[in-house]
Amino acid sequence: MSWFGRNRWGLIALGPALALVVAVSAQGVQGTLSARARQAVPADGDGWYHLAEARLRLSTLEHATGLVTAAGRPFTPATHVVIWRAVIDFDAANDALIGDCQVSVEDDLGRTYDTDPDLELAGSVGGTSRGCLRVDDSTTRYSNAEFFALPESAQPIAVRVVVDGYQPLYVRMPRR
Amino acid sequence: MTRLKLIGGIAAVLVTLLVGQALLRTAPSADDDSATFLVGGRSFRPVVVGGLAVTVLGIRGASLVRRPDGQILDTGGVWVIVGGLAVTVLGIRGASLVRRPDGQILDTGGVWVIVDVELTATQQTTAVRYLALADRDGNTYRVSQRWHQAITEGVPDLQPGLPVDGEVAFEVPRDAATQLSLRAGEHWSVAVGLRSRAVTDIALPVERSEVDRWVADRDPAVLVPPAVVL
Repeated sequence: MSWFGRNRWGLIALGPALALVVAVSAQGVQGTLSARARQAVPADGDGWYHLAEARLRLSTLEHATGLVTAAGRPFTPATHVVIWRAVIDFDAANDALIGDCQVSVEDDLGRTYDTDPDLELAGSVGGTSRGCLRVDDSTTRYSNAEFFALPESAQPIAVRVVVDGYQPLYVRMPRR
Repeated sequence: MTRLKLIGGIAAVLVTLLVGQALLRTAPSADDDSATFLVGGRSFRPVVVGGLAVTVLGIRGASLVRRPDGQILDTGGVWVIVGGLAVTVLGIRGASLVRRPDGQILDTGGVWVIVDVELTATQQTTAVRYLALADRDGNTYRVSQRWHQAITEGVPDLQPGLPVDGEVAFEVPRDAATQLSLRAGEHWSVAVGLRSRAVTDIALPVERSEVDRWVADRDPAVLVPPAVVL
């Protein structure tokens, strides 16, 4: 019997084994790619940032006023806690592409805060963030408010938007 | 000659299997490579986990970094971002009964150990996702799921620089109550567990006489809800 005949099963198994090795390596490559450092997209000449086939820009970032309790009284956060509200302008024909987003605010120490802090906003109404989806279907341009809780000593300097499926790109909109 | 070849072949296979087994038993396993990192600490002192210990030899900063190939990267305004969670044990008490927020009273065949903790996110919004007591025999008792506690795994969200204080209850055997340490970590998942993750290992100073007093006391304990304390 020839060498090929004697080793035919080994040769047959070689193909699937090689495919398995390549598949495992591909997973490793994907893991490495997903771990890449995030990269902020630049603003265009009009101050818009482009991501997920949408344009967005930071309209305002200021102390949230007008929050009330369920009883209609002014809401007061815990001592030394400040609630901030960011308003983001969107221009998206297909907001579903940008809908799966995470919005956060960055302070002067580089710390990041997610929207809708449950504990800090407990007992208030009107402090629910809208994310990136359009609430009103009538227009492609819309504005959403996002709420954050920061220590009194922290100064927010930028709002970040990360969209699933578009990383490592993200939008970082400095406070003006 | 043929029989000799056959015996030699079998011997070679057996030796190969034995050598393979020896290698498998002595070589480090994946679990050895990625065991949990216990971050020791004492009660009433903050312990930081889930972060990165960095020795700063010099400081300079930039919001933009130029890579060797010339491409400029926006770092988000800072050089280094590390995640993390600061855990402080503020107090320990116990009870034989616990009253849930809905008024229902929960009994136990062991003892309720109630830990007053302060949790603080250090760098980004996070939560404590692993919360347990461990005894000296290696047994762990996860935070009680007999009701939805206000502080539990994944709840509440912690905002950087805003400490959250509150109590959390664990149900443990009475014999183990004097040899417990708090294991709290920022990361845990069903698939990976605690491998390669940092968790606290804060010894809880509890005397036998205290446990006896807790067991004898039939007044239900009411847990202090979490609050932002700054």
